[in-house]
Amino acid sequence: MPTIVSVDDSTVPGEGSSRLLLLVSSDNKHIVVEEDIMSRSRFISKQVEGFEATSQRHAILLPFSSFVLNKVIEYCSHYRGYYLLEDDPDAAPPGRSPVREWDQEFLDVDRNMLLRIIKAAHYLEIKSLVGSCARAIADMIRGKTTEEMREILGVENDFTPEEEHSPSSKCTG
Amino acid sequence: MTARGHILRFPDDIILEILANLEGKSLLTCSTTCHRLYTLISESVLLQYKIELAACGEVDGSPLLDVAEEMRRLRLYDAAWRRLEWTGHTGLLHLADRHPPSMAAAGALAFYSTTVSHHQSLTILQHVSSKLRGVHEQHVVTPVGVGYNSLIDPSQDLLAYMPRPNPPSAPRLCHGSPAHAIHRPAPLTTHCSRPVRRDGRAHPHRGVRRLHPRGSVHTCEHRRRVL
Repeated sequence: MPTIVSVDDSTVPGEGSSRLLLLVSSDNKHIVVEEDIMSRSRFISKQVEGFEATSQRHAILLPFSSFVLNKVIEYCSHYRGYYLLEDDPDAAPPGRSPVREWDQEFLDVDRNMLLRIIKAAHYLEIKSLVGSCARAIADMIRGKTTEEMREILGVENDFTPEEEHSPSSKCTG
Repeated sequence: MTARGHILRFPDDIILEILANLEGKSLLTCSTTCHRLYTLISESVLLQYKIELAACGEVDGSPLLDVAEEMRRLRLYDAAWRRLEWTGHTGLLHLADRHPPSMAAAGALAFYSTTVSHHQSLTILQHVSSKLRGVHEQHVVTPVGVGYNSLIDPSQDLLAYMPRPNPPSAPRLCHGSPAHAIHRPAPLTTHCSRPVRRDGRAHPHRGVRRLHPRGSVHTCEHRRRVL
């Protein structure tokens, strides 16, 4: 779907110098969003750099649904203009992403949604959102039994019975 | 969309990011769920470091060093404790001159102070076996003179006890640094269960058995020990 759209600055009503981007989700919804909202995404930033190099702007196709995309845009809008250390490519990577209350509420969604958001955030290279999602997923499995973890993570036991009882695992008490 | 197999379709770095939020015990459980997670966890230095920290009863300190270096120091530190041989010499020479140089300086010691009235008494140092640390149970029996303290290190499963003195009065067990231990006796219990702080007072957080930093004489000065 080679959607070439020219989004001209003059067509942006009353939003200063922020340009618009056209994002197309996997369910073919077209979402127009301001460029500086999405600048948190390294993926989008790289695309925009590409536009500037070729002076051709086109829609950006994304491999996830508009439902997920809107959620990510909501996140980016909330932190518009904020500096988050994890998103700074020049900063030393933090040991672990900090707890942000707003994020916890924002990510209070069901398991599947959470997994989809982290995947989208990873695709879009939004480190802070990946970190917050990872923390939320870890919270779901913390302290659970092996069986419960399998259920939550959706993995199947692919160990042979011998492997399961082998002393190679460090669970010696 | 079902959740079945969902997380396994993620690239390694997402999964590692999730796992990095877990602590040792959950990581161990997680590594028993399937091959992929087992491999990821056992190949990640960071995650192995967390597991070994938990196995030694340690918590991570401030991230001044990179993980590989911290792991190396942790192993050195743990190996050093495993190699310790508790003999009358190592245990009691330190006590005799009242300046146990390394171990008391480290602080995580508990002292018996006893009111034995005869000239010789026996101290038994018991090294309780620990599978996690590869320590076998061992006893060291040593004669002690009047008024000597004997020491134990609760964080290393080392238990020392005195026979009942004559006339009978309960031997007293104190936790904390030597200076405070003498002034703040606590009744002897079967095990060292009271968390203490460096000043010898009981730790305010019940249930969290946190001891003071004691690594100053060893390599791990940025770590705190949690029992």
